[in-house]
Amino acid sequence: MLLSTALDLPVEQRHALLEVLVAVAAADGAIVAEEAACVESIMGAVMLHPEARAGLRNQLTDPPLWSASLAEIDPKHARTVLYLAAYVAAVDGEYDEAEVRLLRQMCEALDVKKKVLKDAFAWVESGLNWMASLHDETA
Amino acid sequence: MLPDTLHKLPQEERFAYAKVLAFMTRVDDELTVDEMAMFEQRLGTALLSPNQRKSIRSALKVPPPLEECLQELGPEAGRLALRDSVLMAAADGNVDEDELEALRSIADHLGLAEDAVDRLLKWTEEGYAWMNEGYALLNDLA
Repeated sequence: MLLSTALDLPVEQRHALLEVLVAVAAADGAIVAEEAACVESIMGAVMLHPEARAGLRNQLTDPPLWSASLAEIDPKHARTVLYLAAYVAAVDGEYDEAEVRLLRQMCEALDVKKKVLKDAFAWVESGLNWMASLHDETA
Repeated sequence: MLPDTLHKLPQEERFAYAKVLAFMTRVDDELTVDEMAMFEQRLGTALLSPNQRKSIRSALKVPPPLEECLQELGPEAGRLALRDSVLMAAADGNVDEDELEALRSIADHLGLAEDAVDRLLKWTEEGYAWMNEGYALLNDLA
């Protein structure tokens, strides 16, 4: 699964990945609880050191320069970053214009076709539907 | 990574939820990297305080008795704890008999439907298929 792929990255790249995701979460100028929980969950899933997590939490209100962080990640895993970034952008229930703009800029920086972003959106939607299916069932 | 209502629960219930997961990690006396990553992921979503996280990580070594963890759970926290216990048990690709028994005990304690664990296992399977679909797609693009 995607997070297992991310877990295989060297620690510096995992940290850079989270910096990119923090920038996505902060792109619309406000961090809602869903975004904070999502970023915390990915920090946990890629098993960052607690001190590194504390530093990243501070960046939620002062986001890092995503392009520099993105450049630190092995291009081979760039699409994984894009998929996770699309997920973080969607987690509060909608894609904000600033978030979509940032994702498009990331696509350009990664030199990937726009279709990859479209695929990422579709993948995120199917995941959110999967989650909702449980809530529908238990409602 | 799942968007859900966990972070909206009272902090004591989130802590109790995390203790249930800590208990689950030790059921088969084996803690794989996949299970640990899933545990840390869910701990992150629970938005616990740093001290609570430290305490929960200690509980990984000596997990509290299941009864104790379950007593502090409200109905919603209980259902989320069962759901995420299923996710964690399945994280290494296999739910063994001991894990299944523990999951059924939790469901039983919560007074859930008899097929609750089976339904959650099916739902979990679909979710892992979704994650794998993303992975396969990425490989396909390479």
